[in-house]
Amino acid sequence: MNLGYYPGCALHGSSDDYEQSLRACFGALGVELKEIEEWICCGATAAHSLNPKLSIALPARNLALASQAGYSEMLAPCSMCSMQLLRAQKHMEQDPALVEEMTQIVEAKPNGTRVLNLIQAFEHVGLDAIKAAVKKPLEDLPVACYYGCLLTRPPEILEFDDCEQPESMEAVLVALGAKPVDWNYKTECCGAGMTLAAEETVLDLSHKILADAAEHGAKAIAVACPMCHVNLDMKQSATDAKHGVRHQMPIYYLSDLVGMALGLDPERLGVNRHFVQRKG
Amino acid sequence: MDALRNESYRRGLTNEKQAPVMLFQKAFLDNIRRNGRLNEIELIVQYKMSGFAATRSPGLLFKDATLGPKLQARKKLHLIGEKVRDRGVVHRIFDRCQNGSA
Amino acid sequence: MARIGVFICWCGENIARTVDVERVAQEVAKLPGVRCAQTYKYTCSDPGQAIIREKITSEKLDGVVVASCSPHMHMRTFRKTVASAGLNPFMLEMANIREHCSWVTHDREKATAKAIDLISLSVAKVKNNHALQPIRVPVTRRALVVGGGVAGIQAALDIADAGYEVVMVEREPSIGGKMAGLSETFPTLDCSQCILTPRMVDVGQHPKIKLYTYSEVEAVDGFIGNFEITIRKKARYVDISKCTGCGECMKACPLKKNKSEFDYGMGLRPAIYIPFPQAVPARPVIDKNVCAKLLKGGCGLCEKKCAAGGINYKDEDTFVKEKVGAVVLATGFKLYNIGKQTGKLAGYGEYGYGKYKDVIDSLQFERLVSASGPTGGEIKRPSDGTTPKNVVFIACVGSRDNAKGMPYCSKICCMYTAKHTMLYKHKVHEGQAHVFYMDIRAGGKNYDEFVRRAIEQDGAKYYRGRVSKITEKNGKLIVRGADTLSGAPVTIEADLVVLATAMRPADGVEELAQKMNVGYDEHGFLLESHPKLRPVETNSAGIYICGAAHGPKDIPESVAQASAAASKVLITLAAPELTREPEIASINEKTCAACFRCVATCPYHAIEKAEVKTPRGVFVKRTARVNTGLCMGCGTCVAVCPSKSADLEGFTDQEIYSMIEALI
Repeated sequence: MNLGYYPGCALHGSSDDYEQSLRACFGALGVELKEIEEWICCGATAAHSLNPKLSIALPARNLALASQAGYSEMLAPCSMCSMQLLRAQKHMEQDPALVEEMTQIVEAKPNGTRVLNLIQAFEHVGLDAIKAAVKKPLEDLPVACYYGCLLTRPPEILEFDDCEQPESMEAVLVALGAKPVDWNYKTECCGAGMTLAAEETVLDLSHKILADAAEHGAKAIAVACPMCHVNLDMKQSATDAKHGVRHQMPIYYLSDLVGMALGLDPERLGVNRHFVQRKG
Repeated sequence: MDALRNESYRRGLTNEKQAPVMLFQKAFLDNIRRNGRLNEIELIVQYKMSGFAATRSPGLLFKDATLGPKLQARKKLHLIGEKVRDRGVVHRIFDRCQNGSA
Repeated sequence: MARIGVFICWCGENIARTVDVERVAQEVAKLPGVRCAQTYKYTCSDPGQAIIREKITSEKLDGVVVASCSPHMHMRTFRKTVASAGLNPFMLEMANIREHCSWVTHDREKATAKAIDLISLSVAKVKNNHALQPIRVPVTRRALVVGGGVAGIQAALDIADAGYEVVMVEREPSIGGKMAGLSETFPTLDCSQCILTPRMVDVGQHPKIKLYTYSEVEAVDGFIGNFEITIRKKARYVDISKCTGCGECMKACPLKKNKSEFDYGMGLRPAIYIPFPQAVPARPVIDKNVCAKLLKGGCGLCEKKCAAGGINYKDEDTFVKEKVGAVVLATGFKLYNIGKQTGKLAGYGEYGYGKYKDVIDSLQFERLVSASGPTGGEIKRPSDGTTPKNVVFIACVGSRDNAKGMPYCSKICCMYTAKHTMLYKHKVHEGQAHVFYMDIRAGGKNYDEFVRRAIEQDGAKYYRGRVSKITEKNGKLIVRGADTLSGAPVTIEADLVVLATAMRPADGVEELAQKMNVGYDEHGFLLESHPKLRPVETNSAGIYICGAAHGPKDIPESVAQASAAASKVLITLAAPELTREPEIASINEKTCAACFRCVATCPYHAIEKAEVKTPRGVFVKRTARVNTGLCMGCGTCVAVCPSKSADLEGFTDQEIYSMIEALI
């Protein structure tokens, strides 16, 4: 099957290990990711902070390109991108005048392509189908599922899972034979795109997340967003240094875990490109 | 949530302590306007240069310098950034949203 | 030929300053049919009214127009005046030359001209008025009280003590409502059951109160003074007349571990149970959802143990009919179900209610504190039974929350939270209570002093801020909130968290309200006739409301409202007949085509389908007929009737057309 694919800037930048993981994993599931041609940046935090109109326009252009290309569903694996796309979509749904305005501004008509985050993409393939395809169950690996801010909030826009006590990622992991742990920081912020501009905050937030996961017995953290991955993985050594600990917590993209359970070699998924490697 | 943020930016009443964040966001938007997609190296350079210009402190310039080689080792350092082919439409979208003109 | 008298009021300066009343009198005296037109400074005063009476007699008037203030002020006054002079009170019209004239302009010319116009309208109308008689409706001198909480109990006792029979219907196995489950009440810290149970016993033993417990209102027919209520008596499986209340059945029952409704799930009860020891009636009921005998035919131990032969497994719901003249709705409240709501009401998952055993709501806390509660009055953590040393109370959970659709304040939570901190401190001397609040609402008598006592004498810590998240660590609840007065975040390691959740109307109140034809707002609280001046009456004649069913309120207010509702009932029942204002719809049965559009449209279900018969009983035709006891005179039927057979007395088509013609 084909699935529309909106990578976003991070997955074509320093987080392209995430794209590598996605292509390998979905390939093994028989899904071909079709990149939307000429996609542009979704605007991320910069647009919605500084220019509200732009924060609707940039996603609107991408939605228009996706529907023009005929995709009924589109995977946006970065939760900032998926949230911005859905937000623009929601505002336009509620205001036909806005659709008109955006059509003028972005020179194309945004239409109804369904935006999926990574968890929803797996649900789209079907958890039963994934479970049936598992070749190397994850042997009760205690994993902490980390949703971060933008997979479940704002609830009125995303309408996905329970925003305070989500369980959708855990369901995927259970299908893989892993053992997700119950922990307290599922939806707490990691600092998102502030990695460069407010590093200290990111390190403090990440420390709490990593520490709580470990306290609840997790041996790995699963994420579905490249910014979360950067803050927890790439910045883990800086977090360690600042707080005088050694977390040694590997951070996996959800597609890494699905791919490995399907029997794929971790290197093919790009796991070896992460900063923190699993011991043993 | 952004209403207060947008309004304070519009009126020029932003908090001094948040200056690094403001510079970052502006650099980010400039970057997208130019390229259509984010060019990480360009962004970092512009951010650090504007930070240095504002604070005159060299610390910002050299921070995270050790990250470069580590990224390179993991093939995460992309020196040539991606650009959208039709960048004109991106300029026009920005103009319409920022100035109300086409 | 009409003989109309026009009386123009100066209303002191209110009218006369702007309207040239003397000129008005001169002009209207020229209108055809007007016998006399005069002015007076204060027509509503005794001498003013005397002038009207005098003129009615001396001029043999058959119609009176008083040009003065709004009819809302003095219509009743002048109707009485006119009636006392022997003229039918509905041969009176009032022209409002104050609120509609002198008070809306400074222009003397315009005001005077308008006053003349208004009076000529009234003169034209009154010539077409019919002499109407008040409608008389017989009264069944009994009352129904729905709901056996403190409000229902108070209303029932007041009505019964006045000498009228009361039927009380309560859907739980015992009366007492929420108050029976409380530990102590603010601001006196009286033991709740100690002050309530004597009243409960009074109700149970009152010769004039017929108590149906474990019963619900099934159907309502009729109208004020003449209601017929069908009551469903749910199957108890216990014959109350034989049962002695010995309690052997409960001891014998092997299924002892069912969550007790009375303890809000904090305690257990057997399958056959009396909800609490002071229940009225103190007779058990069998929970048919868990009883082995009723579900599968096994067990039967209670029947074996019962010496009085009171168990009846073959019991079924039965129906009884009761005739009453007035109804009081006192159905009370329930707490917002955190964690169990869907749709807009869902939320507060961040507090972990349902996930963490030690996060409970305020009624559950009352049961922990109550001496007759599941822990014998000792405050213990539900998770491990230890004594909590730090308890966090969170106010405004659901209340004042627009996003959840409950923007209202639940009124009692600030007070009972302060009470909870005090009761906690009195029982756990080394404990510390923490309260997260938005505002403190303590507006009753001695209420603010009570809250100060909690803070100053019993050391409760109050933080003005909300709680963002509750998580668990090493068996403790980590409560993260804010203290906006100091501007700092606050994290408390609590042993127990008590949520003061919003007050909502009881389940099923919408269905009951529809049966009673009583309105309710978007939250389900029953609607009063007028929020300021008629708080216990509804727009359905003969049906009154009181207590938390009307809106969040505490015990003293519920009791006061209950007595108020009772007084309204007593007014209704006191007259041998009821009189109603006759300005209601009437249908010309000769011209009625029996299309029954009016029947479908009438919002008060006041029009019946009837038959016209000859004196010998031969059927002539079908017709719509107005029930004079129910009609509220809204005029909707008049608007929809295609044959113009429906008309509104006091505002007939003829009367209105004559006014329009007078203007042209």
